[in-house]
Amino acid sequence: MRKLLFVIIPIVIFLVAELAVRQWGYTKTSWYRGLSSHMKTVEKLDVIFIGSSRVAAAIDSNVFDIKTGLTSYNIGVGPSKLQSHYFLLRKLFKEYPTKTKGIKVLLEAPYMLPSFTNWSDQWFADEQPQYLINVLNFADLSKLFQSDIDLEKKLLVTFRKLFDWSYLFSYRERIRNGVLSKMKNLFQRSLLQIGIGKKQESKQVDLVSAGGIRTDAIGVNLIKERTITSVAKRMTKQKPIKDWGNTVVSSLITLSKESGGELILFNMPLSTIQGKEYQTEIRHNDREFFQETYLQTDIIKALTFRASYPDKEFPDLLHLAKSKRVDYTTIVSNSFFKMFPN
Amino acid sequence: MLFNSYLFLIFFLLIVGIYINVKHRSQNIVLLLASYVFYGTWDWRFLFLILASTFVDYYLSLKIYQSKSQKNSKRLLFLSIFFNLGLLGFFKYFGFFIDSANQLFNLLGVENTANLRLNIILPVGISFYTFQTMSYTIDVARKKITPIRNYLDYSLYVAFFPQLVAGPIERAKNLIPQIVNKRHYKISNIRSGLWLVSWGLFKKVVVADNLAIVVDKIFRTGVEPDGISCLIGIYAFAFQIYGDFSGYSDIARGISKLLGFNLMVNFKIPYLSRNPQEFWNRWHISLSSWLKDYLYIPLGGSRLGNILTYRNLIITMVLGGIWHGAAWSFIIWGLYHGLLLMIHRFMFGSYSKKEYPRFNIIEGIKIITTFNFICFGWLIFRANSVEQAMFFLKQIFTSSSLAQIQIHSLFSLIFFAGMLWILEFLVQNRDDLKSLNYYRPELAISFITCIWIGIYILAPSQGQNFIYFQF
Repeated sequence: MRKLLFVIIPIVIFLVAELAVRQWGYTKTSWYRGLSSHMKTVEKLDVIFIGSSRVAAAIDSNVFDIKTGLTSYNIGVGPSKLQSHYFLLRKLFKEYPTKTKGIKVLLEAPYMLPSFTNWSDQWFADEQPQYLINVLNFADLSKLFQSDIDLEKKLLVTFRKLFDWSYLFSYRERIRNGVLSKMKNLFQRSLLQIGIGKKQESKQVDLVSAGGIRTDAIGVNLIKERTITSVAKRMTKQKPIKDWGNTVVSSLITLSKESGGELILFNMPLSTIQGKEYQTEIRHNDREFFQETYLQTDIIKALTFRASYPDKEFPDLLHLAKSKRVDYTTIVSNSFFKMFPN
Repeated sequence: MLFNSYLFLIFFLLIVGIYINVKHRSQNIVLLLASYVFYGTWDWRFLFLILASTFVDYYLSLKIYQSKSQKNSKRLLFLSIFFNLGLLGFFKYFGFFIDSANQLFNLLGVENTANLRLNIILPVGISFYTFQTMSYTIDVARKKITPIRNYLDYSLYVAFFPQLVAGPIERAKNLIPQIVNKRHYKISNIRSGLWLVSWGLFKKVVVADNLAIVVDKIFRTGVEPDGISCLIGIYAFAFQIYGDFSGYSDIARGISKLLGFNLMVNFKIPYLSRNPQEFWNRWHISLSSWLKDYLYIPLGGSRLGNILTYRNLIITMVLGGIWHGAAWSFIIWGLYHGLLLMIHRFMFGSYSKKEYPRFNIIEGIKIITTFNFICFGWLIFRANSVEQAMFFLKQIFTSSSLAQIQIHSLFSLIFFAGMLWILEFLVQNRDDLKSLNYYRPELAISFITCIWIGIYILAPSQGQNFIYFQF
């Protein structure tokens, strides 16, 4: 009996923790789960916006719906990778085949060049692996192991996939951030009450808080810094894009077609610093090749409109300001409506 | 391959699976091969170094033992030490010496046309295994041990993977008999092993890696933190490096326990030390005892009067500092600790060896004072430059106000270092292996389960390398 206790006690503690996590609700709005809940409330999904947190910031799906009379959903989120979006769409099309029939998948394409990440690249952002894990099948693991991703990351995904049924395991990052920020706030309140410390700058900046975007001054400065360094880093090792056939975009085209829908690109305005990496000779040639091979041959369509904003409309250099969201979404909606009047 | 990785978990389970199903001699072969695979995962080219080091010391120690004249024995020992220090010198210090020489030439206005520069990568753990092999040869020369006749067993002594890259630096008289003789397994070994692995992982992944975020932010070049933030950064680093290094040592001991080996204790709650001498009896014990036995005592130790004792202390600690890395900050850090030991000895003499004090206000004041002196040393150790260390000091004394506290950094320090303290206090209880025996088994298993949940949830998304891998 005593030996049995050594098995029962850990299981009981684990179950209590699991229940607590489910109860606290850190996981309720998580990416695919949020979309899935939404799908239960609509008859049909006509348009889905996919991409990074730039999409989350710039597109207001309510405005789009009003302007076009369609039903749309913005699944743009940061930090995520296009591979995760591919698997999310595959899961969505499989679970809701009728509701997604003929869907238009709108993908951001700054300077008319979509993400050129391919299947050998990183499939998930280190900060949020659960975006991928929640939408991945066990069968996909073999493809994952064929990629050039670090072995440790492949093992992490495999391990987390095995425990996908547990909220405690699969939403680790959200739980960690939730618990620590609650405790930090409590600590801060207590100290401020006795006159110790200064309140951490929490002034809200003109940004939308969707898709993992930080709107506090500290977060905004952090993103600014990150944007500058990451653009510089990417520019130093910029190479021509080869093998478009192995890109995720190429797979997305096929996937969308298989579900009776199509992939459509739309221009995403960028700050000057971000735009730099798209204006090099290498990217210019890539763009030309992409246009000749994909756009001019109608393999993929693109909304044609002009939308650019001055740098002051990118408070963190990465995301479009909240105040320009309606304006930009209206431009996108009008362009979409022009291309698909029915 | 890091201990806190999925890859290591699979690797270790695989090794254990084979290990428990074969006999003693084959177990040693399995462990040796596993050790080379483990080491080769960093860079396969490093394997040639460890193979060379193993061969040279094995061969020379046998020759030393067989040598009939003391002169010849000394000559061979010199050769062994020259080889080991040569390896270390070339791979670890060559770049530093060249840079320093170039700087000196520039300072003197001499045109340095050679301007030699080599891009040498530092092999992981080289400082640890060269010190381990050196201690073996020296012990053979001193006739403290007889050399081992089995090359394979000796190779395992040098390369034993749990302690290969960051210690503890094991002595031959402790580890070799465990390799040569048949190992006996007890259920208590498995319990202690699992406990040490769990606790070590917690210290590394939860405490050290989370504090690293605070430390890196404050010590980042170009940032000018206020005095309180500087203090938070220094204290956070004190607990980060402790969690990191003692965590590694605990995991190494735990893994060894699971394989039937007992490695030496490397840390004994060092921040409870009441003076610098006691600190060095509790911090990185395998290195400090190595320096004492093979450097401080041969120099004369404390037998030759006060002045020479002080000299010996300074030399030992400066070399201890250099052992950590090829940079002026490590040399200054070693010198600082040498001076601390010297001043303490001058003022209070040698300290009593009562390991665990009864707590009272006087002892408390001694502990806090010592901790702060140690932390000043950590500032030198961690600062990116001497200028940054000076800037931090200036800020602490001129720009500190309670109203300016960065609450989130303070929270991380109190929360993670506090957890470490409380748990260390609860479980360490003088002998960390028996610590869980103080509690009812049900309570102990609950505690370990919570530790594992804590490790999984509280680990930051991006783990950090173990700090001591760079040494």
